[in-house]
Amino acid sequence: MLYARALRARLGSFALDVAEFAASAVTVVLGRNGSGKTVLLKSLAGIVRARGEVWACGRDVSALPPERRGLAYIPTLPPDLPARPGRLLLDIARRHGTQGEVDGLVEALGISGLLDSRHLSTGQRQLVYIAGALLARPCAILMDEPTAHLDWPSRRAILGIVRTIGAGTPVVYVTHDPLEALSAGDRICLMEGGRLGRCVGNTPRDLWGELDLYSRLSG
Amino acid sequence: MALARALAAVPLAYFALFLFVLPAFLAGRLPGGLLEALANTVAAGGIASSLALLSALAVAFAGRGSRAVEALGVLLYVPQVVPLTAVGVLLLASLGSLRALGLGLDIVNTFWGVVYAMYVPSTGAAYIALTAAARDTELDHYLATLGLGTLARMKYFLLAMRRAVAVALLAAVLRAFGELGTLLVVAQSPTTLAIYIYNAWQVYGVGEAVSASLVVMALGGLLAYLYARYAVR
Repeated sequence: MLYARALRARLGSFALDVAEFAASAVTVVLGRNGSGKTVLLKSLAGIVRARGEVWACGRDVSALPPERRGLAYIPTLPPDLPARPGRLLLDIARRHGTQGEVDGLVEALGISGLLDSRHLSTGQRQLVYIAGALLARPCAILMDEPTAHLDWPSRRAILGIVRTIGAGTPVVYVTHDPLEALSAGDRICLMEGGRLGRCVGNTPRDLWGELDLYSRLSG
Repeated sequence: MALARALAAVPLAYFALFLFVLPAFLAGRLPGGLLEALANTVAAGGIASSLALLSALAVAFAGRGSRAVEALGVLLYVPQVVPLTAVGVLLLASLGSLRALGLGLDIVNTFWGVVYAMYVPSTGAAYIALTAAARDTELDHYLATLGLGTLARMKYFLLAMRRAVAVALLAAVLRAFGELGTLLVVAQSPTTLAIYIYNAWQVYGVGEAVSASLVVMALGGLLAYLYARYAVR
């Protein structure tokens, strides 16, 4: 369970002001470009300095640096890896797990053929980043538009993996696509202008109703 | 394309004509001491630029997570935009102040004085080459949130920056290679290439100074070629 309260951050003229946010299973944050979704994730992870409380794995991590919060953040467009993926995963496993765990995870994600590759596609990089995040055994995984640059088959694969992960580790999944939000999440929270709106279930009826209300409120 | 080539020919011809061809008509005897000056420059420049690279890397890495460090990094730029004789005077004055405080470092006109004088301009050059490449922080953020500590992340930072690091090292070496201003004030001996040419001009005259300069230009050309090869790619 990931929980945040009175989370406030300021980046230039943009202000994040989240009264309360709770995430379990797969919680989707849905909002337009510039609504503050990424700032929310980075504030939770401690990458962006924010005031307020963040609780993860039952402890207050607000004052901790990103290294000690246990909240794995995966950026929207994972950068090229400067080393072979296998080496990166082993480095992470050395701190948190075992070679056996790496092997099992690599098998489950179907990335065994990528471990020695120098050049990975965006979708392949996304899978390697997810594998790294899982190896770190985080309290929650924060995914910033993980399918934004992917084709449909890769999208479906990632969405399936996210739902599997969500069964064991809370995932906060950010997207601007309502259809994707319905496929990915158990709960969908709407975000606009740095504020979180009401969270609804993942039925089209709930979401369309909320979106309609939201579009009327935000003009 | 033809017009672009014609336009490019103008500065290229200017540089070739005025820095190589025309001076060659006045070339005289090559003054002695070239190899010694070259060896001193390579040795002192190598140490100074290595230290410069390490310093620039540390500031560039720390500057990614701290606006204060990033802002203070401007300090490294400053010597690049002022006459380096001013920097030399300040470095010399600092040695005087240290002596007054009982921490005397007798390095004026010594090999370590040359390193001391070359280090400042070299660090600025390395830092400028690194800063643009160091701005991408997404991988570092990802690794930090997985619990990797500073040293482990620094390893990936260096791997991700390896081409920028190579360019920064070359920039630092080139800067040390061409340094005169700080050396004139802090360490005129042992003789380095810049001081060698300065002395040739002051002691022997135009012909000898031109010959010395042409040889140094050829050496510099080789370094510049390496720099362009790395920087352009």
